[in-house]
Amino acid sequence: MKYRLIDAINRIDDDLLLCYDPCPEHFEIKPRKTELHRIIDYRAIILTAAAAIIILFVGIHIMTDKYVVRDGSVSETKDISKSDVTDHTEATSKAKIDTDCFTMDIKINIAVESFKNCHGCVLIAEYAGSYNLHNNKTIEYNLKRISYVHNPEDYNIGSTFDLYVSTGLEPVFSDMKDGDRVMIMVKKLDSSYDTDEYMLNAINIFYINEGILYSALEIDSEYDGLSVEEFKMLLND
Amino acid sequence: MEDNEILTLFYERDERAIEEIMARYGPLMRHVSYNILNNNEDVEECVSNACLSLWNSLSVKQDISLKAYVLKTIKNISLDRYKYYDREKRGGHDVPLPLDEMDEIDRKIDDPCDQILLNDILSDYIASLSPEKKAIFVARYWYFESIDSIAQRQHISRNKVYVMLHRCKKELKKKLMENGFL
Repeated sequence: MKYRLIDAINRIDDDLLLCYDPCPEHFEIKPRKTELHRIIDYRAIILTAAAAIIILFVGIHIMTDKYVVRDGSVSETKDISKSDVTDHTEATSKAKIDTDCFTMDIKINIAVESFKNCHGCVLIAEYAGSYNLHNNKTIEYNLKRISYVHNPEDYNIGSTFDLYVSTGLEPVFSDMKDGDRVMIMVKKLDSSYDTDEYMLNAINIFYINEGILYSALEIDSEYDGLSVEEFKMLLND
Repeated sequence: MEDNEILTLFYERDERAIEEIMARYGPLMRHVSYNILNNNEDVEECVSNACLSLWNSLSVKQDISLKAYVLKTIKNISLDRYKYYDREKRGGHDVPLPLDEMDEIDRKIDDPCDQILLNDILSDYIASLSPEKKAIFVARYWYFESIDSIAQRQHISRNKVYVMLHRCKKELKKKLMENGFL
């Protein structure tokens, strides 16, 4: 058999060999980490980090006594108690409709947690309904507010969103590509014509992969599985 | 029981020597063997074989370090087992030995004089290293410790272990080139 460097290492002097002495706590036999073990380790780290983030969110929620919504149209401040926000993905809005010129001044109160890590998302607030004018005519409206989330911190508690009729969507979506995320707020939950207060609910976040939208949350959605092109057409209808 | 007392038991052919050696060095033997074989059943078999080998070889009085002798015995037996599996491709031993990292500077040598020279160069090189580097080099390439285990034992980062081993190999390569082995 040929002599190799490994054989030479095996024959080093005793004093050199004994310069390293595994201490007793290292004597016990531990299974070597396989690739599977490493993956499980990574998962444990990710799960721990996710749990820590959730605990942080809950902590912020508990420490925040109330959410303040500023209704700019009437220059008054209203408080919404925490119970009005059932979970961090819910958004609430208050609307003041000026029927004279039919502009809607929608104030949406969004839990701040919803927008963390949403840099680059497309935010779509879809708002549909009808309104009885003073002359007993009913106006049907389908309003959308679409924008990029450039800076998540701008979308803080009490952020204001002015809804407008869904036009000019194309420029917003012209740059949509794989890896982008789309945040959609849809479905009017409740409305009270007496107080002109409306609520928007169900923020869903979609991500785009190979031109197809997939819901990132476990929320059934009509948009799930649509191609970006179909999605654009649907919104433009 | 101290090493010299255990050796005396061996020389007197007292079977308690096996019990004592297992009590003193059993965990260490298993540790070294497991680093090579990565299989508990094989480790136990090799430890038994090592005890038999020690019983047979320590019948005549010798001036040895018992610990080094035990370590070399269990390592050689475990390496033989590893080579057997590797040769027969019997599976279950797909973890490469740390020595594979030495492939770039490893050459087969035929001349016995060159073999002795290589031993001397290597021993001189290891002896010239700082205590920390020496321990890391020996831990990795003699004891086959994992990088994680070395980092934990030496209280340094994995990255530092990698860097130190890389530098050691570079220096050793230079020495071998100077002496015409590469």
